[in-house]
Amino acid sequence: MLLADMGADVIKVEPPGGEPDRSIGPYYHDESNPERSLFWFAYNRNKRGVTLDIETAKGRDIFKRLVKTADMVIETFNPGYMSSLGLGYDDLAKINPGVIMVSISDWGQTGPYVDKGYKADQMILWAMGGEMYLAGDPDRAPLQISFPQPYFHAAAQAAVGSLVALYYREATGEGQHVDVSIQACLPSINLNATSYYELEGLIMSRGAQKTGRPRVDGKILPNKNLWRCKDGYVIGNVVGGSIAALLQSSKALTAWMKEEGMAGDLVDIDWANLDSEKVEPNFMLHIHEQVANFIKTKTVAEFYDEAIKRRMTFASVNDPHHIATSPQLRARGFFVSIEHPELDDKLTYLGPLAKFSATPLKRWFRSPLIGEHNEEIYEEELGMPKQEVSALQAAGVI
Amino acid sequence: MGKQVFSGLKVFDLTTSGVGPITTEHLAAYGATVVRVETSIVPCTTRGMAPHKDLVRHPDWSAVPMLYNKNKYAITLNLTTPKGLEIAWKFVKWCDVIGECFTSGVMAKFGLDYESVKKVRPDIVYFSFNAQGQDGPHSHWRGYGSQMSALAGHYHFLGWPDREPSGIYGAYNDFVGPRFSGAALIAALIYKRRTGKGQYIDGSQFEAGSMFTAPMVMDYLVNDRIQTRCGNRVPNAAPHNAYPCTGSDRWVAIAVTSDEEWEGFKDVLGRPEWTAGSKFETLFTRKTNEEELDKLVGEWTRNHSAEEVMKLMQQAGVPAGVVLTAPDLLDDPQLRHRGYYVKIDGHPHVGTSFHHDGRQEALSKTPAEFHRAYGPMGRDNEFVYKEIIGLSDDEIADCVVDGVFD
Repeated sequence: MLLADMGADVIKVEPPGGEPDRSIGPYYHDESNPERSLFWFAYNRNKRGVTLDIETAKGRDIFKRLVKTADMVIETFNPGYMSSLGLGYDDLAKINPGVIMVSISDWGQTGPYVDKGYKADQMILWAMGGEMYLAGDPDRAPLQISFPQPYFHAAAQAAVGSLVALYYREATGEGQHVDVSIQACLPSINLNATSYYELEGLIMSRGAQKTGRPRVDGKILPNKNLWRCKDGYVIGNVVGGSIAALLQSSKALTAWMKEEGMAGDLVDIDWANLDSEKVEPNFMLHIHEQVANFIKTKTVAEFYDEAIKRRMTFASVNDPHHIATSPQLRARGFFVSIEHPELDDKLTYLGPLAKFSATPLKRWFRSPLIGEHNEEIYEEELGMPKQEVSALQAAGVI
Repeated sequence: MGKQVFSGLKVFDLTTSGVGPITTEHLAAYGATVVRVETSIVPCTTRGMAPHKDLVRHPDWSAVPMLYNKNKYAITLNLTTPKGLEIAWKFVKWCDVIGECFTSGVMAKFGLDYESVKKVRPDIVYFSFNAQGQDGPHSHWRGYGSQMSALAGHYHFLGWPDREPSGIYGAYNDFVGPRFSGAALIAALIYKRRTGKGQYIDGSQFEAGSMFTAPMVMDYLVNDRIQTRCGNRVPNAAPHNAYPCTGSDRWVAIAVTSDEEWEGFKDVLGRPEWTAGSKFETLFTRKTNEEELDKLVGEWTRNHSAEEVMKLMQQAGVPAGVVLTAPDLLDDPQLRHRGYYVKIDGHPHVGTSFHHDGRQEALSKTPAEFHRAYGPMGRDNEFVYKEIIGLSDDEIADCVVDGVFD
């Protein structure tokens, strides 16, 4: 999608009948139908689509013809599957030495988990990437993000890797194989958990996110960054110390609370010299209680808007509605409207990954219907005769 | 070190904190010459973060700056001094890429915004990747990765339906953004290679992060529905959760996503009575009785180690994985096979006392190489100011005295 958004001609090759991803909800008006999946729409805009059964010999022939003129081939099959069909990197490089093959798989193309055939879904990968242990509440099971993330991380990282390979190809004409492991895309998200363990012997776990510090002797040091509002939540740290932005934020919050007569003894705090780790835990709890009592008198919008004005480092905990109606995203032109003639509707999408001054992302069209571009690509571009295409369609090759 | 993909590419890196540095690190990992500017006037937040070697709480002993700036030159430069600005312009003339992630207006304040730079270097590739973009009512907002995660919707979607959001350790969105900014930047470099044209890239971490919750936002826009967090549950699988095992805070994640896997799951448990009968026979009935199902599964896993459950389940064709901790990650055989954790020499105090995160993608012909750890602040001042900028020893001494390298 990222490459397509930036102008690449991306041809989605699906098995006849369409890809399984088309069965991922939510659906347009809850119509459970492979041409109605919002998930599919969101991540497949700006692509053309053909159907092809690469498990047939004729299907593989057609595939190879497409590879001949392709810059990249992107696949997410189990390691070894493409090779077993004679479509592995070495095979494709013979057809097109400049081709870049991008393979995204759970563990990578090789290794002990691949040899053992270990299976995973996104939750398993999240667990094996070290992220699950760091998410959730201390008194319950560790968690995944309910809208699972690992595939997205790997996909976006694959875009980076494939563009590095393309940059190299521009200079040398040589392609290569880009091997992306979904598991390997996750550990660095833990920021510093492994180095924390190696250098200080402390193991971060869920609960540490509320303090930025690990549990010490089974106790979580008091800090707090989630605050309840009238109609939702905001997140922000109320700490002292030497980091300029946080210091300014705590001072601004105190000033605001003072204006409304709710600051109490917070006005006496010397924020610059307050080390929340060294000060009495009860004192931090006292500060948090006062702040919590203040914040809960505001709505999310009221608090967030004012926080921005006063340069406080707080953010609203946005749900999908907040994102969709964000004045900032709307002002930025982040939402694009794309026609869906079959639905007689125009849908709003989350749009450009960035604003480019010389190459703005201006081309937006909806994701392909199943086999929508079979004629365009097989007949017009590959020059296959209409009868042949029809016959292959009837035989289930296309 | 032989020729790499970005060998010879020169980057003037003014990024701070997480997202910006990780973006330019894509280039450094593949051979670019990246000069990263820090200043003691406003130290990078990572310099104040734990962990530190030997618990020495000093900016030069912190591991986090090293994690995000592998292979880069570390210099200090004080842009509030006239000489500092003069030197900045020498970097502008030297480099191919400029990167920054300040709130909008900061670079303009120094006269180093894209429009100003373009006059001297029309071919420059200049990226800005801050929290909310260069324009819009919130463009001057300051915040951190965990807060970006809140804006992008990740926070809302993490936790239990009967509780406030749980949160996740770390600055989650900081690791979403750089994948997008990296792709945008390298695409712009390819465009420049083909056409000779540079350009300005204006990215927003809020926007990038939202891409990972896009279908949920579309569900609201199209269906007027606001979905929310639901623990570990998913619509199409049960059991699907993390279950407690022997030991302290040890868990295994199990996902039964098909009838076949349910059969394998039952086999592993030895087909206890509760798995027979209609109550848990189909996905639908298991979802209906999911709370009870989770309880029963947990009663079994409680008597086994996480490693054992994973092994038995995988052998029976059921997806399962240990909920790995940091020490587990360092020992994971698959990550080890990929050479994921690397020790990098070059830091005078910290040395190779911890492992860096390496690359997530492996390029077969032009792999990333990590040849030098990122240094204490200003570690490379002498080399960079002499060899790249061409200052004499006397000039350098004067700059030090005048606070130009603060």
